[in-house]
Amino acid sequence: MSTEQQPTEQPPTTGRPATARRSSDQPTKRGADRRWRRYRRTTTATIAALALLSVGLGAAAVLRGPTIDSASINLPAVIARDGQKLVLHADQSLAPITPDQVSVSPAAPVDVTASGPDVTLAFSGLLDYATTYHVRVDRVVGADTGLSGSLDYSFDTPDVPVYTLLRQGGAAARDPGRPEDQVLRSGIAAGPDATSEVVFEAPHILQYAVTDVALAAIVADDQGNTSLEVVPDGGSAVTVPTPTGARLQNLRSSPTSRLFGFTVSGGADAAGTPYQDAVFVFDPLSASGRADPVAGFGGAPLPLVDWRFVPGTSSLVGQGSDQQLYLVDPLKGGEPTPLGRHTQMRGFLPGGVQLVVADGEGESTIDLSTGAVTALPVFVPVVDPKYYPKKIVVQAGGVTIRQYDDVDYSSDSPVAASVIALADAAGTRELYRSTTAGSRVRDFCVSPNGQYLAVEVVPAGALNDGYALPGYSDMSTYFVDIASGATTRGVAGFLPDWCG
Amino acid sequence: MIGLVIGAVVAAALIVLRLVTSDLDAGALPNRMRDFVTLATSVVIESLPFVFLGILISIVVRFWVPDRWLHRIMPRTPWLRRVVISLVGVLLPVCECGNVPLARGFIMKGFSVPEAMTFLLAAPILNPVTIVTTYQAFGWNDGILAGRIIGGFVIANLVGWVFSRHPQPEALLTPRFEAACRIEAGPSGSGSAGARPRLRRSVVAFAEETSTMLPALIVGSAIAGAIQVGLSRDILVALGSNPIWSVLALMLLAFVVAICSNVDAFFILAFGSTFLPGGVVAFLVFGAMVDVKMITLMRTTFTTAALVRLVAIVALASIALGFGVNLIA
Repeated sequence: MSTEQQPTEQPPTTGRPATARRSSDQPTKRGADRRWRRYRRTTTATIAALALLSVGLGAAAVLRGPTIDSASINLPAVIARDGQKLVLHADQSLAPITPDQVSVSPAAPVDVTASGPDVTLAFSGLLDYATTYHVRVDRVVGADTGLSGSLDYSFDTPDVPVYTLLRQGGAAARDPGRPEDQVLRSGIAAGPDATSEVVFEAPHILQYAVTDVALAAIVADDQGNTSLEVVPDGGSAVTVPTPTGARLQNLRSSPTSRLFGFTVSGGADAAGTPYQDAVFVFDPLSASGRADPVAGFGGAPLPLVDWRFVPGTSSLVGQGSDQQLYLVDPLKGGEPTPLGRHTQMRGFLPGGVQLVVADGEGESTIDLSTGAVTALPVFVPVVDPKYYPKKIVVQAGGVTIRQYDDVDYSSDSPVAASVIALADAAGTRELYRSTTAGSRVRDFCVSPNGQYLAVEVVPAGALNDGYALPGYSDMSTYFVDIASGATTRGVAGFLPDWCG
Repeated sequence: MIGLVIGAVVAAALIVLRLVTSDLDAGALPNRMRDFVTLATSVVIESLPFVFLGILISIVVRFWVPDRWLHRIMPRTPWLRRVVISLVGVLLPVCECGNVPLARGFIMKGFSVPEAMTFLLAAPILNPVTIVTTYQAFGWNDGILAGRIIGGFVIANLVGWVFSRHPQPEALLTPRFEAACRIEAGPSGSGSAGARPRLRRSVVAFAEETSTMLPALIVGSAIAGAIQVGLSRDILVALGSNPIWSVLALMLLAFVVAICSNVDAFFILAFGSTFLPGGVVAFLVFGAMVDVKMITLMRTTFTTAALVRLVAIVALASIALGFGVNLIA
């Protein structure tokens, strides 16, 4: 073993001649004593310093009261389904929490429960897209320590892509050499200067629908024959076999079950079976590569004049030509469940399976999980009586959003402007009004979380493109924040996927 | 020769025991006894490969790596030497029990005792296997990985510095190991052992180190198994959400379970949701440096007084680290 050369910390003690050692015994002994004392002092001081540091840090950790240790939340779910939970895990067990101790900014309704070190906040509505939420629980008291503190937590909800269809060429839709129609993808939170991304192109796109695994589009050839093309995520387009000579329309998707559905009218399949308003579903993840008709009573195709997927399920609800509503799950099979006759399906309340239907006596909701029908008193917008009422959307609590056209029948273009108004307990307010003379709203719909309005605007002098589902040249879709009425962004195209 | 006879007798006894009890079902032993055997055996099985690997690397360092090469690449400044040697584990990814023979090899090779201690404490943490498994288990969450790496480095160098102030560092060694070091060095520095061929010396050293390490490992593993059987884990878990007890309880758990630093992150991951991050960091740092098995292994090399001081400094520093992480995490 060798001794380390350490001139300052560990002077060498060997290797000196014996005579020299004898002549300096006293100083060497004093030096050794000094080194021993230094070592003991170092050891004692180090242990004491570490002990003091531990006591100090431990006291600081204990005396600061409860703080948040971790949190869990399903961010994609909080903008898609109501009832989602945020669990705040404190670093110690907590005394009971009351709802007035909890604040959420921007405001969102929550139910609060607490157990042990966990505080659970259940959001009773959907949260906004691309928004930073701050949650604070004040005056939390440690169950064991009695010390108080606060729990603070922030999270960012995700942005969502929104798709639009850009038809090219207007009246010259069938001119050779025209650019192809495009499906564009844009972000809601992106600034006004952000560009959109082309995700699908075809010469003539009538409709499209998207899920997270595929995009489907009803495309037409130059003769107007329609077919269904499906583009798997990262793959190339394939044409799905459909009855020969059939007209395809009403394409929709179910993001949850990743199904596409569409209605088939006219034509017949290989067995000669004719179809009229028959709903077909296609599963892009299925190995069959085939679209199947939704079976009605006795296994026959179920004809529906209007239909839509039930959010969060693989079921669909539709309306027959006799106004009877049906609920059917194409994956599970079985007979359709009649839901009663109603004049019109208005759509679903955001975040749930409450279907709004209209009848002569007013609106009501059908809870598709229980079948319960509940009257839904609605607020009626108060607008200029000369306005012509058009599409109506009813939200939770009877909040009504309705489009009105300002019609001037003496003009060549009778619609002079469009207005979209919201009526709630506070009264009526305009959410959108045409900004240029002669421009009008073709359609509008509400985002799945109820935060935005997507407004399809036809500019003045726009030309009809002549498609079976007509569009117009230079159409744009604007997104209006319903809470503030501010228009946040505009993108090219129409038919936003929210309206599907 | 005596050791060989004892080993043969023990092996024969085990074979006879196996033959006699082969027809008994698993319920023949009481549950706690079965738990004890399983836990103690698992620690031995988990540690054994690393002990042999450590002994082999130690022999390579002692007999096959030239002195000049080792000392030339090391800085001359003492604290800088300790900093460098605390990072040597990156090249020698052996867990803590394998590092004891390696540290002994370093001392025999001429490194100072404080330097060997620094290596012994730092290498189980500052090596790629431990870092990767800790990252896999916790990622960057709550500063657990950073706390383990930085804490391990600082504590190892702190211990090295404290013991470097010792006026006679060789007095920190057990008389038996110090004597072995003197024989290794020899009166002229080349050593009486130097007269023998290196291969023969390597074989002899392997036998000596194995006979020193394995009994210590087995005794340490048995103590670890016994304590685990006797101490309720439910009690430990109940303490997990307190900023003080979470640290102390997990340090106690680390001392008791004596799990290898290469895999301890996955073991404690199961407790991650119950215990505060400071407790997890203290477990990962303290357990990699000191546990019941390591105490018995280190006792083959260091005096009791030195071990008491070492354990006190490591424990207090780990507590401070755990409390600090709980404060800021």
